Amino acid sequence: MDLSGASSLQLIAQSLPFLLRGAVYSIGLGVGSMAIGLVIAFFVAIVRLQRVPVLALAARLYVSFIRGTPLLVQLFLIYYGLPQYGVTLGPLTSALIGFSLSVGAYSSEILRGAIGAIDHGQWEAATVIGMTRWQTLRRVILPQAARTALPPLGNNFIGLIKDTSLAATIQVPELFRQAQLVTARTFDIFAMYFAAAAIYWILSTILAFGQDRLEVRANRHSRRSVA
Amino acid sequence: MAPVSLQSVTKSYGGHSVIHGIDLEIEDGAFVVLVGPSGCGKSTLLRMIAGLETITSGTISIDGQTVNDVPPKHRDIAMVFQNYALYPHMTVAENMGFSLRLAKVSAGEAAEKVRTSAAILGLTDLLDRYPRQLSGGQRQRVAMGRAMVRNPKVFLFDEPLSNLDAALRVQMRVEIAELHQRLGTTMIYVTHDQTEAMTLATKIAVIDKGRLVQAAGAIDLYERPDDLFVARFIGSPQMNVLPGRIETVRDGAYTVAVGGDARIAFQGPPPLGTGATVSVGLRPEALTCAADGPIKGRVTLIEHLGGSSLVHIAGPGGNPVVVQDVGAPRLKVGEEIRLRAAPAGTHLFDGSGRRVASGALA
Repeated sequence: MDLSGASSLQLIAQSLPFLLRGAVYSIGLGVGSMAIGLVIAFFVAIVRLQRVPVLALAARLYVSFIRGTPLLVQLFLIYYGLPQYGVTLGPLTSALIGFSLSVGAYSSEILRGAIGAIDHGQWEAATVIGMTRWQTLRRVILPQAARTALPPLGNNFIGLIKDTSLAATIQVPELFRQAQLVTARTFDIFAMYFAAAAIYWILSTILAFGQDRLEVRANRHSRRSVA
Repeated sequence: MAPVSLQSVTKSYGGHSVIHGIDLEIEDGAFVVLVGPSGCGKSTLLRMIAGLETITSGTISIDGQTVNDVPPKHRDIAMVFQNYALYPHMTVAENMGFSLRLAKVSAGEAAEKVRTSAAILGLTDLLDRYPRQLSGGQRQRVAMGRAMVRNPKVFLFDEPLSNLDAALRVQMRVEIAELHQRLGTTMIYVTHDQTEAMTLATKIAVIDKGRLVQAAGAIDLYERPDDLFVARFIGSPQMNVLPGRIETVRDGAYTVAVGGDARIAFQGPPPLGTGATVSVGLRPEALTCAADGPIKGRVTLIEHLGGSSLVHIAGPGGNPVVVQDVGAPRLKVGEEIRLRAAPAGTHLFDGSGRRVASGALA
């Protein structure tokens, strides 16, 4: 498309399909990473709560490393560093792994806190009526822990959607990367980055609204009746 | 229904022993209350019966079966917890019927059992509510209902009323007693409130520092405490204890010197030799004003409780004495009075705290 001489607004309008394609990438990357990350988080949280000897130490080191190093460095280690050892991964795969590991570490602490906050009597009451630990976790503990974990996990997800912009540094064609590519051709830096920022903001606002609705639903049985 | 037997049961954490060889027989259909001060090991003992704590040594049997290594779900017990442990994401009906669902009971039968239990406990109108929408007393009833629907051999209660206010505690106490009469199931109940213990129990087991001090009926414990700990623990207000010494002994009688110049005369052969250090236990309700009473004191405080009053007195040797119902409205703070003790509320304990005589006033 020829964008020379166009005004900033025209430029944004013409680039919108291009940017939205990037936004779809960002959302896909965010949703995929969140889904995989939550699975990792659940197992890491359980391993740490159960204090499984060697696994608990490994889990603690994993969480410590991920939380103690920048996400950008982690992405570079995966995309640019691993090929040195014969492991070559595509940009999207690298980003998915990097973000999933990051989500897994941060969310495992949220889940661990939420599960740990459930009164121990709940475990015991379930034990007395004959539930296994797994049944208790699935039917009694997790439904309660989910309510506690939902707000911070929601915040994590909103943060993750914005953090996908870091994938631009490893050539993933997400929203920010698309904005960079348009800027390289048009040199209207402010307009393009402002448009990208606006899309991120709209996405975050929609997600925050969705999170609020979800929290209201999850807490419907924990509000006292005023009758 | 089932008898429960504890034989030489001990519990240690590392090298630290918390339960020291407890022997206790709980008859089929009995309501046994484990009572004692905080940290005495009563909850640990209950949890061992439930299977939530392992046994270091000894034997626990339920209905003749040794259950030391039997998991909680196979012990056929139901437990009501101090904080109720209701599932907040389930309605009252779901909370009550949850264990039946696990046991693969048909939906119709489970619903019927829940309805029956709810009717007994006055929960019929609350079945669709969530725990957060209930008062403390209602939550307590749901916890009891959840235990009831399983029709267990033994009910275990771990300080179930401690989170309720005073009025509700009294009401729930009555409801638990009525429930026991109705079901006739063996119930083991932990509390540190001796009033609760005395009003509910067919047998009270008094525990102190991980040891069973005495197990008997409420009246027995009150009238014939084995030692000073039980004497002080059972009864409200607490028994007055005055340090004394066996003084004169003559033909079938002896006197005990208490404080400075107070002398209490006892009948019968002295349980200990002259000069022996003893403690005289006097129940507050056994003391009355009498011009010729042997115990002298000065009124320091009067607590009016409506139907009765508690008079606090600086007694012999400055030892505090509490008297219940001595025509308190007539008394004034600072007034000097004399007291006489009724035999039924008087006990003598030796230096180790063991009861050596009761009610033998001259």
